[in-house]
Amino acid sequence: MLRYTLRRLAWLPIILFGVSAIAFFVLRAIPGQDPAAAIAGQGATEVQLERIRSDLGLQRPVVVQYFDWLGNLVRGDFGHEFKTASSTGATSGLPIREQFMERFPESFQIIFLGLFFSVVFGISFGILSAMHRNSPIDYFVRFFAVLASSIPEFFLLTLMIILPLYFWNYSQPVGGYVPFYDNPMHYIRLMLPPALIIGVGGSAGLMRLTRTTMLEVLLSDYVRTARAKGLRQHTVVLSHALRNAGTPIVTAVGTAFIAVFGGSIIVESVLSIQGLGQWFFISTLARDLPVVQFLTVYTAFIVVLVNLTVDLSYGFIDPRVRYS
Amino acid sequence: MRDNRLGLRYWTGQRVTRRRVLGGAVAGGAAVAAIGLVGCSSGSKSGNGGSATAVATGTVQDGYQDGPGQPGGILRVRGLAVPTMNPFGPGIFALAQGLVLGYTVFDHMWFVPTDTGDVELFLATELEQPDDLTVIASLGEATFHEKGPAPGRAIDAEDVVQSYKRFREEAPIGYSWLHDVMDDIVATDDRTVKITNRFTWAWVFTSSNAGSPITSSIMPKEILRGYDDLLRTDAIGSGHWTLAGHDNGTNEKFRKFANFRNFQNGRNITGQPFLNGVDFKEITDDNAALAAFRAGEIDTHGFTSRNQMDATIAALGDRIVTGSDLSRDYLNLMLHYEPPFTDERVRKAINLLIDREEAILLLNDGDAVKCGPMPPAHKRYVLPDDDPDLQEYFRTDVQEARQLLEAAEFDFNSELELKHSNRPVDSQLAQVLKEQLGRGGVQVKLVQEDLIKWFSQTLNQHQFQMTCFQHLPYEDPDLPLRFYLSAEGDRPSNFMDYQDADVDAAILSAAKELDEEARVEKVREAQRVVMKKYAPMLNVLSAVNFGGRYSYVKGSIVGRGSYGGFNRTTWLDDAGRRQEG
Repeated sequence: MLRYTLRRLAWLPIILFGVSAIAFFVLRAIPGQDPAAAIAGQGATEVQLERIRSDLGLQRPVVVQYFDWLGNLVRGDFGHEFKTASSTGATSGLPIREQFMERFPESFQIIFLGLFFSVVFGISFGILSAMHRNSPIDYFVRFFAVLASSIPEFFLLTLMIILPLYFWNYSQPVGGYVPFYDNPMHYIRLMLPPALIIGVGGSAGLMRLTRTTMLEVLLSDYVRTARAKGLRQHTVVLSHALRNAGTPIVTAVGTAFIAVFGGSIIVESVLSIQGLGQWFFISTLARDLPVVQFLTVYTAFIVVLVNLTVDLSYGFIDPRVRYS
Repeated sequence: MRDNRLGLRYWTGQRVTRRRVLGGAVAGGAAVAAIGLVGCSSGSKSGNGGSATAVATGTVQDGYQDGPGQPGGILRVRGLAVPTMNPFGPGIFALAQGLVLGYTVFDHMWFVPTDTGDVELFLATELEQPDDLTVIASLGEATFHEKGPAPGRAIDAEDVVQSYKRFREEAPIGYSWLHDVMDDIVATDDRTVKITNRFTWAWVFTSSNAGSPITSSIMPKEILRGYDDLLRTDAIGSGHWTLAGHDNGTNEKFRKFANFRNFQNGRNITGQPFLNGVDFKEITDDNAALAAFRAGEIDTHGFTSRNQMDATIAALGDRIVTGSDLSRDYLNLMLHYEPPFTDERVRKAINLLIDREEAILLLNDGDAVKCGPMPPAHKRYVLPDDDPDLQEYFRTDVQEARQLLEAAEFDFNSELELKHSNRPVDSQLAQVLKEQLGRGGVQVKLVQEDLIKWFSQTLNQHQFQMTCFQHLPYEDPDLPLRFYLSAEGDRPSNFMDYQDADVDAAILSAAKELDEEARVEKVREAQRVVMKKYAPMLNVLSAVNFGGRYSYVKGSIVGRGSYGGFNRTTWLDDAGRRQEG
């Protein structure tokens, strides 16, 4: 197990290196991506553009720029924003590290709450559906799962804004994060609906997988034996069946996390929450390459880490699985 | 040639109404909304659940129409993200920043309201023009905000000079006036600023020039050198608002500056601003903004259409006041000056194919007006509706267009490329134009690009055959005409690469005419020359904007352009607000 873990961890920097290289070079290969032009604005002369490129080090070979950036990244220097630099490039923008630390908590809360609802809805409705196969509950859950996976999150968000407005003149709070301890009610109004929406989106796959897996397990001999022994229904389902259905479900939780992670970009942008997703969005539009590069690598890091955690958890969930 | 050294680049230094800036598109909607909406007309019918006016009211209100202002209260308005707080930041982002902080946190020597065109003195108490090239401004007494490296210090002339010079050094968007028209700016003593121009320039005080909300902002000289960290995160000026806080350039909180100067244009303005502050709420989504307005979470709102306004009136009745105003922005079709568009017959044919009335119906449900070379909101300078040249310019005739194209041996088999940004207004305009040009046999292929690429590459580097877009709402009559000038300063050509000596002469003649009445006539004559040549920026329409505010919001300045948004006379009627809860 330890060897397996170490081997997987050893792959982490290699994957991140690959992702960082792709992000770096692809961003520079796309036509119309000259940050100097975006910074200087209209009518800038070639001399002005050259000066900006020189100040930002953009005139150097791309490979040299890449390894400089990577070296700084490894040392914990994430670079500086372009969009807050001066227009001549003479003074640098805000440090990305500071911006990241400032925005991370808001994104973390949305993702955490979204994942929480995703797991709760996905697993509980999946179990319920399996236990009441071909009943109205089952049909409802299956319909709900198809609906949740079919409707884009931005549409649900728009409905979330419009419907309460027309029925109750109620407005979903937007624009400005308020910590829970400052104003619990505002926090709940702000965070709960979007977390529910991205949770619903992430739960669809989990719901269907849980149902399928549980159906299979509930029909197995050892579950029949457990029932024959007179065990209570919830003991049979939660202790015997669910545990044995756990491996694929945990895999789906990992996938749901990634879906929630992506959904947070849309939620933050629509609801004007100053998190990492909104930062990524505006930085992409602003051609702020250092921010986009960093956030791409950060996202890759999170995805790899989640997958690693999921893989390692198999051994704990199912004793039959051993990595040696 | 010196005459051409006007140094004013396009999209530079112009005033932009805060509700419409860039259609919310730059950097996720790089601009700003809403404080300008405080200025939505209250002159229209509104109360008792009545309907709003169908067309722009054109009403001008000076802010005193609701009686004496009550002090206190925080106004809540919609805002969009400002990607940088740095006033010397990257071009288009500095524009967005300047539109939030100019004339609010930063003070200025003067401003020129759109409706009068007269210079209104702010920090300057006296203006003198001893000759055609010199402007001497005497400054009144005022102090900077109580923060930063010069807390509460009295403003002197060197602050003004150093601020202008820093903007000139940085030269991002809109600042070429500082390079090419202005020769120098000096402080002749503690209270006097002297500006000398390189040549006679009649528009010197306007918002595209030395009255820019961005580049004429006055900051303490200490902060201009060595305090870039502070400039990136805070804004320190001497305006009526202090910046009390913001979230990465959004959700700005402005609070009343207690020591704000007490004079303006010879009047005593002690007690202004009446409000204790303004809170911006970043709301990127139009539906969310409407919801916030209807739920009473913001006090003002700019409607996306008249239908939306009418629905809101139906829901809220006389709790709100609504109105309309003719927008200063305008839609246009731009042709690159290369074959086939070097042939005037082809340009005329394209113009004849544009059905402006149909476009108004399709794009604005009828709530717009036709637009010639000068946006119709500039009433003082625009040609009268019955002007024969203007009527000819607005004429649609598919048959004649076809004949002209045939005479010009236009290749009907070729497909012309029409590039446009992904802003909804630009995309819709492109669709309409494709359809209309198609009626004359002109085949059009639409190419959509994201706004930043379109702006920095397609438009700025003139990489298009045809492009169409919504111009920013320029607050002075100077800029719309200068788009047709062959060259300006270090910019060798205009967007279209169009060159015409007659057009240049007409526009420059107006720009150098210091007599106001004569200049108005010359501006009109320049428009006629532009139209007769079918200069390849064919303007289509200007929309009517609709706005609303709760009836407890009073004393707003209306109909004076975006400057209404910076007004200090807005006040909140306590009783009305309490009633709203």
